[in-house]
Amino acid sequence: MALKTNILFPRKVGMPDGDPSQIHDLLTPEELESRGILFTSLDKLFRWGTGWSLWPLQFGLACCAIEMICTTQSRFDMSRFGFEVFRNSPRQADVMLVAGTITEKMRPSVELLYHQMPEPKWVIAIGSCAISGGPFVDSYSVVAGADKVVPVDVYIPGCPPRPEAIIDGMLQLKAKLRYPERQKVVRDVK
Amino acid sequence: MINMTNENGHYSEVYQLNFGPQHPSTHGVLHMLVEMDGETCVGVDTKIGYLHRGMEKLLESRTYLQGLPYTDRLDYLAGVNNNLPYVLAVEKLLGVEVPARANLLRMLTCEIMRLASYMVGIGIYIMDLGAVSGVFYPFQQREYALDCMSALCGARMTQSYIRYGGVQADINEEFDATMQKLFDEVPRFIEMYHKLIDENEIFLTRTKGIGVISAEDAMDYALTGPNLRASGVDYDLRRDAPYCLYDRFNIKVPVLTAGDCHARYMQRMLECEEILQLIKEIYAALQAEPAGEIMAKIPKVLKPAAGEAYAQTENPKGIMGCLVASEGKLNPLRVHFRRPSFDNIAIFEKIMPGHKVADLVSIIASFDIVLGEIDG
Amino acid sequence: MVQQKFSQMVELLPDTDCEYRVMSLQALLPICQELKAAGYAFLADITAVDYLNEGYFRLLYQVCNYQNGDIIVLKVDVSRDEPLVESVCPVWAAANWLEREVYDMFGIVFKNHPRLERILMWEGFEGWPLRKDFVHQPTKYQGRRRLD
Repeated sequence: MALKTNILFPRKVGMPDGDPSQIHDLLTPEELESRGILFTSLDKLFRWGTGWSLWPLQFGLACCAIEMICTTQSRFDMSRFGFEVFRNSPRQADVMLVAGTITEKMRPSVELLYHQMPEPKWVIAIGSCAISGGPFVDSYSVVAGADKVVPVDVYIPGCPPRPEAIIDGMLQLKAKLRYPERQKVVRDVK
Repeated sequence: MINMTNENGHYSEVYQLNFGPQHPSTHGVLHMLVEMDGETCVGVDTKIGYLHRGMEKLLESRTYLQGLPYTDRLDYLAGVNNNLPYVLAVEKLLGVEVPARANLLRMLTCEIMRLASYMVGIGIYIMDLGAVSGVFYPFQQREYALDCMSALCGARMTQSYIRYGGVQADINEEFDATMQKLFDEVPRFIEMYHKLIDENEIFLTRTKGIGVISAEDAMDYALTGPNLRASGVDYDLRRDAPYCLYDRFNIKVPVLTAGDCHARYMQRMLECEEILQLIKEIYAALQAEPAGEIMAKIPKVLKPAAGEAYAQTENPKGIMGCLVASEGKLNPLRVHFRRPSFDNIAIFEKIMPGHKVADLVSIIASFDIVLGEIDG
Repeated sequence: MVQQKFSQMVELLPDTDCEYRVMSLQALLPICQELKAAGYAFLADITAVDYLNEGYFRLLYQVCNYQNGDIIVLKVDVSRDEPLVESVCPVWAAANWLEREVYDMFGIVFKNHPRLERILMWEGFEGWPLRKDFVHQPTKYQGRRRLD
């Protein structure tokens, strides 16, 4: 029984100096990758794919929505990271960008939209109003923060945040998706 | 509520369609309850208030200086223009004389942001009619305008640049460079858009004869801004009741008479050219003006005299008014804003019946509404 | 013009050239009709100020002329105990929404208004937010009905 090629167990076959005791010694994932084989779990594969193709819900509430639109326009171009497919229906979206002040009158709609999105889903709070109510926190008609209504994954501060900040927030969400075991933000500071 | 009608010999039923508050072409959170007979709208109930943040109440509990940045969040497409009426009203109570250079800077920034706001209005209109790529070019021009503001005062959108008694910062070299870029790019864009959009067959079909407003209706419903001028009423506060130093300049106001969606689009395009011309004139005047103070002498703690002051300015969306009532304390007794979009959209209930659903989108977008301003 | 025609009912406020105090509530509607006929076709603004200590609301009407950009301010005081004013909707259609906003915020009732409902706040909201004695009671939010 002679296996001609076996790249998973190369040392077993045709290796003159191979030690019989290391017959089950596998290659590391890095070595495998160099041979064109990706070794992963299905879960990781999904996370990798989702991270590169987040479909945000087009849902503008206030000022921050304008900066959100700016982020998708030609200068900042969020499509470089795979986030540009803004869906108008919550059924087709998987990340909700809460861009602006949530008022008591709007609150049921926000909650409904969140429930209408299919799992898995994430929420990004853009701007200080969505984080904590911002300058309008003590108003009689404002909900003090999006996390009073829906669970928030990433907060982007600013009033409104610059488009660069929104892109950074989206990338943080992507990192959170791909490496759920990470507890805090890891940045490549060169 | 469903009831049957039997007009014209065929059988149909009237039903209600919820349009918004989360809808891509309501520019935010406008909610319209539309009564439909088949595809045709027979009645509209505009519901607003989904972005009502209680700004007027909040300003009563803030000092004057704390209250100023709130005004940027009204019409967030043109923040500086909102500062102006509030500042003018407070200055009336304070009795402050603003230096000429500060006045020129105020006008210059207002016109730059007016241009930026029109760019959004034009771009979003084209996008709402289905041409998504139509939004890219105006937003690029808007970035040039925002670059100017960014170089001048460091903020992109909500600048709070105009202060009591003057402005925040004087021009610098970076601002000159960005202005040059603006002067180079915007005329090319306007020319291109006239070629691309004006005679476009689809655009004409979607806009010509849609949402016609007569001059009488426009005046009765207190329309202001480009929406009023597209109906043939020649009224522009910058020329008719000048504030700041607008009386120094020769302001040409284009007026169209058709009053339909196409006229409102064309009105903005034509005004863009005039705004650009005006920016050039003000910029030239600013450079001819000798360097000097950009802030009047005002006290550190503002306590305007008791009384009521009202100031009006011409904003991109229409005439913005601000009432400040003071009791001579640290914070105002009452602040009220006349928000042009709020008054503009009251006419929806009159002009929309008889149109198809797709035309409602066209009408809403042609008004260039901003929900932050409608709800306040 | 206003001063001549309605000398009994209006009073030009000192130090101003365009601000009038309307002495009686009944005079408001005739003055507005007269203004409209005189070319003041643009009702810019209706708003109110709550003078709690003095015990009245002051209503302010800003009326403009499209021809020459003139502005006239009418001020009329309404008792806080009985806030009831004649609606000017028959004169200017624009008054419809402006009066609804004043009603929503101050609870001032406009007689003969075609549809006096809350406009900015939601149905069922209690209180008049811009009154000085308004106390904000955070509403107990019960959560939205579950989607099954």
